Amino acid sequence: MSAQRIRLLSDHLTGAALVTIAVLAGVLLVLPTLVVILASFTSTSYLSFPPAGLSLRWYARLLASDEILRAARTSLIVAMLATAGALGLGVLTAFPLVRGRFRGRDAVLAFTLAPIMLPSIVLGIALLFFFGFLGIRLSLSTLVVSHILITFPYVVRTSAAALLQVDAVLEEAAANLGATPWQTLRHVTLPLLTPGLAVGAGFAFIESFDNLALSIFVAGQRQETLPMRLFQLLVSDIDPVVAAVSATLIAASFVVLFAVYRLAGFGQFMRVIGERRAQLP
Amino acid sequence: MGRSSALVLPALLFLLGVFVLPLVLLAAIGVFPVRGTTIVWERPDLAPYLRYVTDPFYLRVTVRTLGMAAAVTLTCLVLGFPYAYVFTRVRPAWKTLLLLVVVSPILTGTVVRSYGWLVILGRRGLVNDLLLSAGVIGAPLRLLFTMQGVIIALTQVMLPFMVLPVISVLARQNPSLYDAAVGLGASRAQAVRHVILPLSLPGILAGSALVFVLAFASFTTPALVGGGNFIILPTLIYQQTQQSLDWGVLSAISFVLLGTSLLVVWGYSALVRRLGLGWAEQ
Repeated sequence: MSAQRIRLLSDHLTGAALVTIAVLAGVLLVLPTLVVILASFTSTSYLSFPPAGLSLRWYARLLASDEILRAARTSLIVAMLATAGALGLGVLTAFPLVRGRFRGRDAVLAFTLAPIMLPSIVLGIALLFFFGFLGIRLSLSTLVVSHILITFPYVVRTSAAALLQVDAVLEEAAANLGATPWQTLRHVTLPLLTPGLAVGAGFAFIESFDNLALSIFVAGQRQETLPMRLFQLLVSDIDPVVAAVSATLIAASFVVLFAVYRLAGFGQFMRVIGERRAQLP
Repeated sequence: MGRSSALVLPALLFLLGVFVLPLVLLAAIGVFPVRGTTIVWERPDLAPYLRYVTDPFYLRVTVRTLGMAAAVTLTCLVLGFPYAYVFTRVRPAWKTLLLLVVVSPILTGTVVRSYGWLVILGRRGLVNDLLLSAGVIGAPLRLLFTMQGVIIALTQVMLPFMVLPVISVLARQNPSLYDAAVGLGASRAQAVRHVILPLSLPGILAGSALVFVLAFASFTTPALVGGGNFIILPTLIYQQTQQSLDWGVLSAISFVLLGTSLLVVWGYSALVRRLGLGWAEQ
């Protein structure tokens, strides 16, 4: 009987230890996000937690800061251009990779995914020298081209996965019923691909909007992106206005993800997140 | 189908132009001297690599980066395995919540995450406020700009990459294996040790390789939480571009980063093959 009691006790201890560590891990995971949101509503000029008093003064400062708003606009423009470029190039590449039968197809697939396997910082330094070597001035174009390089692999992945789900029989049926290849693409294949493409585009947008390690090397003097601006604000001195920007970004990313969740379901939602694990073969 | 394969050409040309060529040039400036931004194509030598290997500062930073990445991997493992285990044992509603919690760092931006840690670990931050008011410490602890601070912050950022592979491996196992072990008289600790742990090994290995590689090459979090005081290889690259442009050494550091990542990935796949864990690949 007593051996049974010891066994029960040890089981409880094991369970309690595992649950305690798991709770600790959970707290560690969400704490910075919660702290940022709370800190953005603080009324003091130095950082304090918990906030001494509540106020929206940092949000007011954010809206009055031309530098931050200009950086946000730059980031939006760059992310939209990069997403458009990545989408075009990615879809174009995904089609032959899924439907084509040619030698070296797997090698091409691996090659198109290579840019996201590399540390951003290494790619950044390589591109910095490359542009200098060719005598190309750093500008919006160099920034967008670099962002396309690190976002189009995600579009290749998501659209290739989506294309695999599209039953080729549907396309054959359309062709048999007299549709031209373009009509088949326009009215059968693309509508079926839309959810996958939306996930790929959304991911490319987020990846571009959030990028710092590559941007700091390839952006021109006048193309400071939002992550670059925030980085500068934090490197020199911790400015609480960053909390307001951060909380706004957190809210925006949750709105976007909620939209993905409602439109495409939990599976696609997890896919968006899963893509970030794609960085290792 | 012959024509459609030509559609990959734009992507191949694009990659050749702005991916392969820059990397080839980066390799070249490690062995050829550079004047301004032009390469002097004369006798190649390994002078930059020698400068890297013989400079105690660079070696110290390299060892520090390796140590930091190893510590982050270990911390992620210690925290991540129990999290994944608890995930497999709770009801579906809890599963959704735990999944949201574990992916939340991925959902917030890189700079935003680091900012959160600046607020928590700062001199007047959350940790110091709590410890001071509880009377545990008399003076604020120095947590920012230290290795410990960077390890804590990076652990949060990397934890999803450890937990998700372990969860995905465990989710494919039959849950009754654990119940059978307990039913046959194993204690809970024995069941975890001899059933759950071996079954999650493929996930643990994949997660560890991923976390190590990502931590080793991470930039934003170490740059902000470590500051100028705790420098690792990626932040060293950035720092050097801000000061003097010694392209040779920059190239050497880049290839040490690349080489280490490749080595870890190679070691991981060799280990998976050696242990016969290929069954978890699909």
